[in-house]
Amino acid sequence: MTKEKGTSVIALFNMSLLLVFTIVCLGVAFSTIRGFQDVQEERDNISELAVAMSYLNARLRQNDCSYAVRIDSSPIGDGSALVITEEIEDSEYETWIYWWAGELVESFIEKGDDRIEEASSPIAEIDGFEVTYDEPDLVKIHVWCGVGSKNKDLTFKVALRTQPIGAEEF
Amino acid sequence: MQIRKTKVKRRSFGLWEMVLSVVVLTILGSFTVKMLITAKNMNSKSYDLYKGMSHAITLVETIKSVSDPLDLSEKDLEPGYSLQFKGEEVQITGYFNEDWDPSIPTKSHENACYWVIAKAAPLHSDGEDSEDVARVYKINVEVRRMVPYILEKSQEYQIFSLDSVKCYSRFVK
Repeated sequence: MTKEKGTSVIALFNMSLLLVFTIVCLGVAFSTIRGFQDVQEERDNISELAVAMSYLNARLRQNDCSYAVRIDSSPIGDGSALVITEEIEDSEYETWIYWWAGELVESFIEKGDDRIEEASSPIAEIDGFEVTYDEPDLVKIHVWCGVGSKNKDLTFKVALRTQPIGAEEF
Repeated sequence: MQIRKTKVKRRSFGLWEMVLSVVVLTILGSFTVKMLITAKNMNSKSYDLYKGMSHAITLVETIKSVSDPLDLSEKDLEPGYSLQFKGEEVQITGYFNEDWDPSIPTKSHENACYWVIAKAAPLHSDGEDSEDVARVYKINVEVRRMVPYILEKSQEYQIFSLDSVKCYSRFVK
């Protein structure tokens, strides 16, 4: 009787150890899954920021012509927009680059056309975009993704060789 | 016909099996954690690369935006950077913490995690000092991490380095 009781105590101990171990294993597995999801999300955010940075840098460099670049207020919502003006077959066209609903968008329209939103196409999924003049010929761009501890941001300046529109007021 | 009867000692799931499974799963778990840390380090390296690039672009563009590198002043630079002139050479140094915020300078910079240095030095110095003579400057930017990534041994890690050239003349902007 005592031997049977001893055996059942050991079995109970083994079972409870197995239970604890299973719980710990599940905890580690779930936290690893969560960890990998966070890593994936962070990687996506970094990629989107890199896309936004190289796109904006390239667009500014391509269009560094006299009075071709200006900073305006965003056509939709708050914030700022980068506007690039170019002349194609005697007509002036504008490229509006601004942030809307979690995306950096580009809209290519004829100057004066107010259907900016309809003509927009997404560039990168980011959480914010800000463009300002730092000096009369230095354009400062700030893009960011994520909030709190997951926040990632990139800030860079581009020196224009030509005078941007509106920078005289700086 | 003789039937041999053997007494099989049946045991329940024992402690040793438990210990063995704990050891095996711990080893597998440690590999998973190592993979997670490696993935996290790769993300950090990737972010550091782009962050360093944005700092380097800003520094190169700031140096290129002035008519003479010797006209640069600390107010042209972002917070965290200091400016030094060594003859005709201009050196800009910045120290940043783990979050890429400017670190409060101490003598040994032990609280800094990232180090950004930009140097602008004349490529040819023929001794002529005239406004009409174009001066070509070589700009070098280097970004380093001074603290090892998690579970990595190397103390200093060069994130990247870039070179650029700028011709300063009153005819060229």
